Amino acid sequence: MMLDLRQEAARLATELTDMPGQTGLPGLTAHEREAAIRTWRGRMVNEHISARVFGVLLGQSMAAGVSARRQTELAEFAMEELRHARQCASVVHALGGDAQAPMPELPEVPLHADAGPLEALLRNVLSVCCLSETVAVSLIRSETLEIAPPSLKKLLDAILADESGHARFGWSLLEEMAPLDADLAARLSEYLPVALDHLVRHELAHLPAHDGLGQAAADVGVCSGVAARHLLRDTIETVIVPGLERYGLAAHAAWRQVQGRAVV
Amino acid sequence: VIWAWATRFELILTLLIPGPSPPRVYVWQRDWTPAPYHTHDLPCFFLLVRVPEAWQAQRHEVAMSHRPDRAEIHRRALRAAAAVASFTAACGAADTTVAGAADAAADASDVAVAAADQTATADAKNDVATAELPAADVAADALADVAGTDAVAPDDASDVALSGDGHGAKPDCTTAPNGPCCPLLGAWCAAEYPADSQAATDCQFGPGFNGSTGCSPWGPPAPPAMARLA
Repeated sequence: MMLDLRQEAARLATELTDMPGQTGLPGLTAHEREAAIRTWRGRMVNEHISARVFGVLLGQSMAAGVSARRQTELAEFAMEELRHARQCASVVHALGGDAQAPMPELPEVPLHADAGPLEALLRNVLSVCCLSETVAVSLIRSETLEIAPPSLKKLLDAILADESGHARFGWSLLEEMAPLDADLAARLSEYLPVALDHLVRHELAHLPAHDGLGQAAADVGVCSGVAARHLLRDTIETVIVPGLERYGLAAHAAWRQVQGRAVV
Repeated sequence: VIWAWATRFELILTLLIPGPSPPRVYVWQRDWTPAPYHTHDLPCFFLLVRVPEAWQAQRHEVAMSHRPDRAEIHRRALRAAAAVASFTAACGAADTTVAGAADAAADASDVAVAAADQTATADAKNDVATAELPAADVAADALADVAGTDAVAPDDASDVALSGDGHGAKPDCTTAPNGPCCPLLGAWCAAEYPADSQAATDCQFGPGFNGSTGCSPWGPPAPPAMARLA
């Protein structure tokens, strides 16, 4: 099955008025352009399919009995991911690419039937919000500092604001529930190594191996995979692990366990 | 901007609408049919079109005039993440234990971008005056640590087997967080494929590159089910 966002992309691309090669602006080489198109097309797909993750979290939040406000937020997060996909598609279009791609395999979002509703929700919130989306904030923030065309920077800033909201959902939920029941904290701590290992494997499998393709490519969102890997590790070690420890979760031990597997 | 000028043959009315690039220029003859270009009109058209283009290029240059270096990008990105994670710290708590949280409060611009809610932004700005923090040192230490001590096995150039023909196997940097593997891969691809070719692009983007790699995968993947790590 194909994800085809060409129509939406063409409509939204009119807002990208200062892309390379447009009137009066320097262009990209074929090599740089192709790399940029691939990058944004990949983001288009990832953002689109991640909407389903928040859809599952919405159902879990109902079962767990969290507030209606938080349920509404989760529904909005799913909508935001779909909008990000259209925005990324518009960049593909503006760069001269085709905003369609095959849909990848969609792994099932676990409902964690081995745990109660609240613990099951918290496992997924930890993985999605406190880990994946917090890393996304640092990575996207670094990209906004490198992006050159003002209209593209504006687009990426808007996406970053949404991703920040997704991450904060998790951290603020932990804050709201603090102090966690000791048994619940212990059981969530058992899940942390699995979640951290999954995060690192996912990120390293997707981050490019190159150290950037030059300034022109960085200007439109193709930056260094080497720098992104540094940032991934530092975000985990200086932000995520201490943050989780603060709520009584054994994050240091979990991270040591993951590091012991020699992936990072 | 509307003006008219007479050519050798007719009166031409020109309408220039400034705004986003490219500037829109409409030219009509007296009978409202599109005006033909004439050789002696070209200087006028040059001014009409090229000058706004130059303005646009100048705006572009101004926008790019401050390019933060890699260390600054790294530091500010971490601050943004810390601002998000340190929920209470970003809202003014002074006794946070989250590493980097105070750094986040020290950089109001990062918090402003990273924090979705306005309260956090406002409070973080209030904190700026009192927060004198070693953010740069933290980042520098982190970078030094990465550069100096993290030569994990797959990332070490010495671990990439080179065969007798001098070219060797393609380095697998998929699990390498940093270090010499990535530049080595770039060199390998440059030697293997013609520059600027599709094959070179695919090669440099790493093993298993399927178009979904960028600087960030962004959208969260499905979380893992509970398991025990081996």
